[in-house]
Amino acid sequence: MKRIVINRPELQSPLQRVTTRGITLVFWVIWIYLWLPLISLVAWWVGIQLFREHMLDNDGYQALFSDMHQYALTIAFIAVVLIGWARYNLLRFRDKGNRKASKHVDPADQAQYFKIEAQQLCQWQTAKRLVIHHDKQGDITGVEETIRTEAREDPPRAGSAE
Amino acid sequence: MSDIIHHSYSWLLHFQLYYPLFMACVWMIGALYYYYHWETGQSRRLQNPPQLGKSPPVSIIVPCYNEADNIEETITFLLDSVYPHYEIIAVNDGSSDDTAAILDKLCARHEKLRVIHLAENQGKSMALRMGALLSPHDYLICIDGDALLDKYAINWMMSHLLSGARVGAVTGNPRIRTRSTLLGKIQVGEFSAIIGLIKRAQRIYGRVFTVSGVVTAFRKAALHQAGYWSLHTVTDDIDISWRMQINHWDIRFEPNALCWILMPETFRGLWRQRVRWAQGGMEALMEHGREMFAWRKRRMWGVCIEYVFSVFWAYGMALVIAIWCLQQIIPVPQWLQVPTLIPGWKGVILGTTCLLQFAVSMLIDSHYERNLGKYYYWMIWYPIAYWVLSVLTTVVAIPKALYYRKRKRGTWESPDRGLRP
Repeated sequence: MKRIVINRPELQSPLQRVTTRGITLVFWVIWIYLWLPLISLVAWWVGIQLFREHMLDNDGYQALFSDMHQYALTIAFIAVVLIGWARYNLLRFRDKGNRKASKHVDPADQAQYFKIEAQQLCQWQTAKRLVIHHDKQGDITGVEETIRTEAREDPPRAGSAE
Repeated sequence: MSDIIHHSYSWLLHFQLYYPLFMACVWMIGALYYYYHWETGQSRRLQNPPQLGKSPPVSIIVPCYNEADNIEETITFLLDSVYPHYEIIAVNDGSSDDTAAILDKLCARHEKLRVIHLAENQGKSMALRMGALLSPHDYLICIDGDALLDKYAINWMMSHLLSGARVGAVTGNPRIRTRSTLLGKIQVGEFSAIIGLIKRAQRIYGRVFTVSGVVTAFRKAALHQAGYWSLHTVTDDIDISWRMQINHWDIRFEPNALCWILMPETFRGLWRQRVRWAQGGMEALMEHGREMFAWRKRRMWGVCIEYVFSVFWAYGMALVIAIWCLQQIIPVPQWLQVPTLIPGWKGVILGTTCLLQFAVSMLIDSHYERNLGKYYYWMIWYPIAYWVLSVLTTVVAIPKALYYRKRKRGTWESPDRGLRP
């Protein structure tokens, strides 16, 4: 049996490989852009004076701390609400099947829904091979129950799509 | 009046930053709680599915359209399932390739396989409807014609359907097969970091936005009550999920029900797929939005609000980017100017939160697929790709959903299925 995972990069054309590498590079650049403040921070460490000017004299760190504080509070709120809701539901529905499922769908009900004869449906439900015809509205207009023989009939071919 | 506009605009700029940040936190916290509550423990190993007191017969429905390259492999995997009582119903939806001939050949060879040919192409929803109609059993497993179902998956999904009378559907865990290109690798991360995480978090809200159309188990009674799959939507899975849950059926997520799928590896393929998904979401909202105001439907409010916010965010982001581009070319009023697209320390926190989200998803997902860590390197691209793609596809898809609503029946589009050897 074939391996399930198909990982064969060499199947791509050279153009595809160049294109995806180019896009990859663009993604990297965009991603690094997110870390500009951190990268700047490293740069500032190298020039202590600039770091001091931005982070301390201009209170640059306060923006970070203020943001982190708000994020932490919001995330804590989300966690309490979500986990609280989950625990509430576990307690409320523990050992409770709130209703009985209808275990069986009667073929007569199905036949009525699909506008066909119930007796025919029961027969078709055990057929090995069927060919079904529909009209434009999607209603069944005919069903051929075919029994396979050595000289198999031609399979149906695609007609026009709706 | 101008003050209101200025304040609203300022609020919009903040929303654009905080929405992805705090949604990432919601998903992480919800998923971690779900994981530690439901997924840990030795007994939850993949090859050790729960012992079922009874094994009622199951119909596996496989809708196929032009699946000549894949269908034999799909059926072969299904025949390997360890569940004791099942039949396979392959529904050939008027394929124009050799799918019909291959299915007929397999049908003659395998007793468990039944084949339904639709004389003309009718769309996936119709194929699923016919499969459900012609199944004599009360439980259905629906998988795509190019997907490979793990041999223990049926047992895992049935354990939910048999244990809860309110459970109407169980959605499985789709795993990406096609990983040759950058897009393939990004999607491996996406399915773990976003889809897996979101599904778990949504189970904590109580309702999921959608089952995975590629692998879901259904209780036929729930399907019948919900009116089966709609013929007038581009995404059958979102619509049926909403209708079942509106009818008070539960949808569960079973991460051990693995299903290996082919995904697009070209931008065109990915673009078309994602526009369709975005369009399907809006169609579901338009179809069922009004019902949501009823108190009895309150458990749907969580996913509903999340979806409305995501659409609002996409359009807001498009507006902000457009204004930012405009101000590079012509002068715009001071109050309208976008200071920067990713502001200072907030950008650092946003970027770090994304990486943390990936780490959490990898931690959870390593339970189901080994050596997934090597994809962490590629996942760094995902936030950009995902959020940009979300903005563009949403902006394009919403007018399509509004314009094409109920104008035509949903039919198959043969998707890009990635690079194959």
